[in-house]
Amino acid sequence: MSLSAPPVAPPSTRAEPNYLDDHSIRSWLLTTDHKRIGLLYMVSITLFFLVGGAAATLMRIELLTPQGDLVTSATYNKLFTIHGVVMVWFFLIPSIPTVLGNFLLPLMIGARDVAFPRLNLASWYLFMAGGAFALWSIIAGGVDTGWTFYTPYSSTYANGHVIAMATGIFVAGFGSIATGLNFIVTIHTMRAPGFTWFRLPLFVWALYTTSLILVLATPVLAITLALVALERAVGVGIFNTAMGGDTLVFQHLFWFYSHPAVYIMILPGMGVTSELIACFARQRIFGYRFVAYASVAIAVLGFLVWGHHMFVSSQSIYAGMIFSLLSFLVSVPSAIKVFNWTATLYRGSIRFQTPLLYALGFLGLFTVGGLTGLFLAALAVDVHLTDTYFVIAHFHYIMVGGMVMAYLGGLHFWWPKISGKLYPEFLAKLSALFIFGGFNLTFFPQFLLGYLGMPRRYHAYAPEFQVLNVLSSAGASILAIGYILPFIYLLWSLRYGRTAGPNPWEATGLEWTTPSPPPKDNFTAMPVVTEEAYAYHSQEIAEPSRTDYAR
Amino acid sequence: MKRCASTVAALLAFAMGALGQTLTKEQLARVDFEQHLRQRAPLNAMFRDESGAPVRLGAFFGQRPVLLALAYYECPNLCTLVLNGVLESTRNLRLDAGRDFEIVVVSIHPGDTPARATTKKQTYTTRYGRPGSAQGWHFLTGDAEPIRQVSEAVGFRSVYDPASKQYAHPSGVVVLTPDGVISRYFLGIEYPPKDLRLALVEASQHRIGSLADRLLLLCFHYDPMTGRYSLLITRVLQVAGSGTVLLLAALIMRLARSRESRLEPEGHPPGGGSPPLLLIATWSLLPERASDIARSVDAIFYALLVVCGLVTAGVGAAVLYFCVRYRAGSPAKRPAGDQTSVALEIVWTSATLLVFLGIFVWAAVVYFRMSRPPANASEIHVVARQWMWKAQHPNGRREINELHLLLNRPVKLLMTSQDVIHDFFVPAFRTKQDVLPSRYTVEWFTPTRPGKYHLFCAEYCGLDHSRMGGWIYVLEPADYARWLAEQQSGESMVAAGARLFQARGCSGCHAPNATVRAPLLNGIYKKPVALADGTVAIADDQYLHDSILLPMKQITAGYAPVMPTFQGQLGEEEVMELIAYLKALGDDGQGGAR
Amino acid sequence: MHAETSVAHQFNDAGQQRDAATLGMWVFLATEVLFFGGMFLGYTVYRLTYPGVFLAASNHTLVLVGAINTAVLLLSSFSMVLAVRAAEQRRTFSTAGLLTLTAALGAAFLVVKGFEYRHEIHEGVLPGAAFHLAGADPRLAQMFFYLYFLMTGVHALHVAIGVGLLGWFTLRALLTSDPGRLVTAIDLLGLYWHFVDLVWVFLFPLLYLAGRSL
Repeated sequence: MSLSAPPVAPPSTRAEPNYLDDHSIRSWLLTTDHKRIGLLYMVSITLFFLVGGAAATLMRIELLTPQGDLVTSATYNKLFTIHGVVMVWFFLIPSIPTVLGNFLLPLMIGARDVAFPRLNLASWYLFMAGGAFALWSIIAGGVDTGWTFYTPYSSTYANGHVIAMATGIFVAGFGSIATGLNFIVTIHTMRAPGFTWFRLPLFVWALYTTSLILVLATPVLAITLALVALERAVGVGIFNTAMGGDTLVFQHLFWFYSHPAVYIMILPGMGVTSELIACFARQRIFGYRFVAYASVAIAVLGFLVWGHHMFVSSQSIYAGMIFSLLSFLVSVPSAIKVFNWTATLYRGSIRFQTPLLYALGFLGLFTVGGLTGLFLAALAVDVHLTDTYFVIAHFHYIMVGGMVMAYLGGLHFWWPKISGKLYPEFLAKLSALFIFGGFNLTFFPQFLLGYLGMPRRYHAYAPEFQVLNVLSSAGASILAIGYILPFIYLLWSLRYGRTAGPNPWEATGLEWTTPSPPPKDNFTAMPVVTEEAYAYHSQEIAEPSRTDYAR
Repeated sequence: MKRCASTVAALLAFAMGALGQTLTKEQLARVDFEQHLRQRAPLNAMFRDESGAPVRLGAFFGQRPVLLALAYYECPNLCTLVLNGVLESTRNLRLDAGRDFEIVVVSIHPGDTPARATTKKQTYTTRYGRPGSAQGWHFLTGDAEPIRQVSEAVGFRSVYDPASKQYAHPSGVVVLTPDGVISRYFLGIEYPPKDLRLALVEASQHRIGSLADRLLLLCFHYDPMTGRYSLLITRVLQVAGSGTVLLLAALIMRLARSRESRLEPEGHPPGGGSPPLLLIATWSLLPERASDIARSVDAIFYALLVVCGLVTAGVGAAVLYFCVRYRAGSPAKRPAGDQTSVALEIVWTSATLLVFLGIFVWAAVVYFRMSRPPANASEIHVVARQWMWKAQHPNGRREINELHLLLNRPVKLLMTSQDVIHDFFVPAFRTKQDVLPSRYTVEWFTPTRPGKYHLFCAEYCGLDHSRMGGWIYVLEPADYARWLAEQQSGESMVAAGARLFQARGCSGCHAPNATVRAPLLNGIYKKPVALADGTVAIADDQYLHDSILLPMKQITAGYAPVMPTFQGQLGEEEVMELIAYLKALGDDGQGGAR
Repeated sequence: MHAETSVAHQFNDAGQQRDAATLGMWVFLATEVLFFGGMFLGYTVYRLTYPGVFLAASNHTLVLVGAINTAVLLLSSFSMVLAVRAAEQRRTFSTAGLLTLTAALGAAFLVVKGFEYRHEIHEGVLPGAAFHLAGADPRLAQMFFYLYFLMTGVHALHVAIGVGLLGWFTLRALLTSDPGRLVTAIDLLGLYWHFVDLVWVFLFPLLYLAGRSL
């Protein structure tokens, strides 16, 4: 994006005031600066990731042997519940939107802040309050309902702190709604002059569609969990078939939120990937408009496919057919995105830096994850595969392979902007490879396990499944190393990293025109946009030193 | 099966020409080579060798795998073709008959003599032409009884035609392990040397054959449909993975050992688990397939696998190629200009859409079939509760965590749960259905292969969810009859329901001579019932169930809502028995008594 | 038109700020629709499953009290419209007065609702162990009252929040030196208040009138 405003400051000006200057705790806890709130979220979700990761580690160790002899089944059931709840609501859903989204959205659209900065801070407090409830219920003894809270188990039969956990998710949900609302309004009303919708970076499109889902789906989850908690407290059987209620109503309501939630978890990842691939292939995204429309299509269709979680639940077979058809339809826009990213590499000038490795990793894993979704959308095949490890593998390919890869890729890409420092490139590449390899080793065997028929949420399993489980656990240990490495070297770089300068990747985008770290109000002068996103081509021509490829 | 059937049919036609068509169609229909994989050959059957000396069939077993052919020595065409096929194939093997494996030809004609056997042997050993081949080829003759034993054991069904004095018989050879267990069949008259070699190596339990053969076997899998060895892509992955697993397993074992040896100083065997190496040996990447629907499901699965594999490979290849060719600083041409191509977008969008729609329709059709139980299915009642499965057969026989089924008979499970949601999942049948509290759900299948299969609960149901499983036994008719006879089943479901109907006071109101006015229930099942709110309900299982446990839900028109609920007083199993009674109750009120 | 100080630092001008606030309120109302939507869906499902039980149970609600409350809320909406108009015309005292009137009507609604609840709890139709209702299967009738208390309760919570906001804006309207600053905010408060009314307009027939048509 070429700009008529302000010339980039030379990288040597180290004393320039920036958003990190005030170090007091108070200045952090009462900040309304979107960049600082993004960092608050970053620290919080990292903590929750460690909690969820610890639960996952214990589960994988437990599954090394078929007899289930490391922890009791009660503990195991709590572990997978904790893992699911914490990872879904306190890591994946907030990850890219609240960390990278909060930090970058105003920078990318040329605004000084989001539309409602105080609401933004409030959403963090809501998130933390919800997290506190969740952590309290874990410490007080845990919950063993699984993250899906299926009734009547959760409402009547489960022991444990279901109400506290549901309250935690309920409260955090309002944090999500506040964030979504903020983003929608910000994108609609606060774009810099000249920033038409089709000049927006695709990451902004992704955040916009994600916010729509957050705002429209989360309240349904909130009321559903409130109903479960009340039902449990009062003893009414609205979701309990034995008392005249209907458990399928719960499932419909739950998945009406939780299926779109999957897109909350993947759309921002797609947005990040678009940014990374464009930057490191030095190309405008192939079929920009189609990629943008695909995001919208996913958001809309994503609301209409929830019933595909219920093919064996005894819902009507005709409903099953409609949901199956729509599920196939919703996978088309995802496929379009993959094809377009691949085509963007064509005739590019590809630089293999860490963020690109993550983006390519995302591309590969998301492709596998998306395609295996077809198996689950296909009715007859889903009957065999649902509730087995095939499902586990499928959604981990999407969420961990997709979203976490994209989150880390984005974090590496914008880390110089966030911190003003560069991280050690070799270690970063190494960790990307570790994560890619470890991830595949962890989750590919689970596809096979699922096809062989190993059900999910099994504390003990038939001995013939052991080999694949051992393989999966082994992969998980590699994956863990891959996750710990960035944690270490990114912290290291804060102190010892080289100074990044405003635009270390020579990327387009308004956020790269301002110093790193950015000043408190983001820009020293109002930026004006005159070009489409990803104008790498004109940038290359402007720099004769970089035209050596064109021979 | 189709393919071998057609081969057999073609050869039969050929044989029939020689037989002058004196056999009836029914007799010819009996001619078949049925695959009795993993069954034992009768090693104690006594035959005569070429010299006429008595010899146990077992004498040829023990050390080496055996290639067994059934033939008779005056056969005008087919047997010669079979033996020539064996000769042709074994001549191309590096393995030697007599050293690496045995070739045993058993005559199916009791009238064959050792002299004829000797002639045959000379012909073939000469043509085989390897040193020591006389020890490798055996031509046996015997009486009718041992011939019958062997034929039955390997599934070789032939018919004697007295008019032409010849046999109508199928063609093929059998590979057996040194222990006499049937391991492979080769049908027809041509046996590809590669497949035969792999079969022998496999049957020998890897005691013969080169290392390369053994590695090859890991990637090839015997397909009983075609009788061929085919490459398994998944197995290739398995091999790649196995190396890693072995290393890891060794490491884990080592660590576990060293820890255990510290904890348990001596003599204590490591607890519970089988050694990892054994596990790898028994480990397969293909789930068993034991129902009629399983084949249809797998077909879609493999089609999807191919489609998705191609797409993944295509995207992967494109990414790799672009990454290499268009790496920064590479000499590749990069003409300027906007690359976006609407045509390309439309092409790949619509291509994707078409493929997806195709798969959708295919899977939906199969799903529709899965959801419609056939009318002749026998009905078994299943009640799930934390954490066990209880089943009741129509004759009243009950089972817990087990279900015995008759081979090839469609079964319809009528299921409900006593507490939370469970799910009845049999991977080998590729079916699964949630089991809901207070609601009847149906699952049906036709078991098509005898055996013992896992039953899992696939919907999380609390503490011992992972142990809420059991076994499905699919039995041949004879075994099933034996199993049925094993236990005197108590009263049938209908009888139990009739007893409950009296004992729980239902008859106090719902009988013709009752003092309280309540609807008569004779012949009510599947009949429309007019309700107080003006609607009409069909009195199906769910209606009857709810009328007993939730009587206020639907009130029959013209009756006062006075029925008490039986929730908490009747278990789901008892409700099922009552419903069975009501179903059997004819219009005259007599059905239940029969 | 508006004072420079009234624009928050992240906005370029007052117009942008007003657009943002208005859009924000509409988006918020959209989430509210979905929030109530979950409960309405539950009501619909069980009303269709147990039509007789639901209609019979709804006859046990106090229709007259409900009707009075409906009138009170509709009236409050009218006064809210007038308050918005007064704010646009910068008539400070009318604005404050009309806001107070609206808040008072809202509070009246809550008081009436409170007495109604007291009566119902006294009758024993509060879901829970002590629930009883003559001539009905308690498990099914309880579901109606569960939804009744939940839906009216959540609605009452919204009314209470609205009353609080109305009180706060009355004070602000009286104390501010620049009435123009409050126009947008009062306009949006009006949006919220009408939404809360609208929810009641749906609740009243579903919960009070359903069984009385028989």
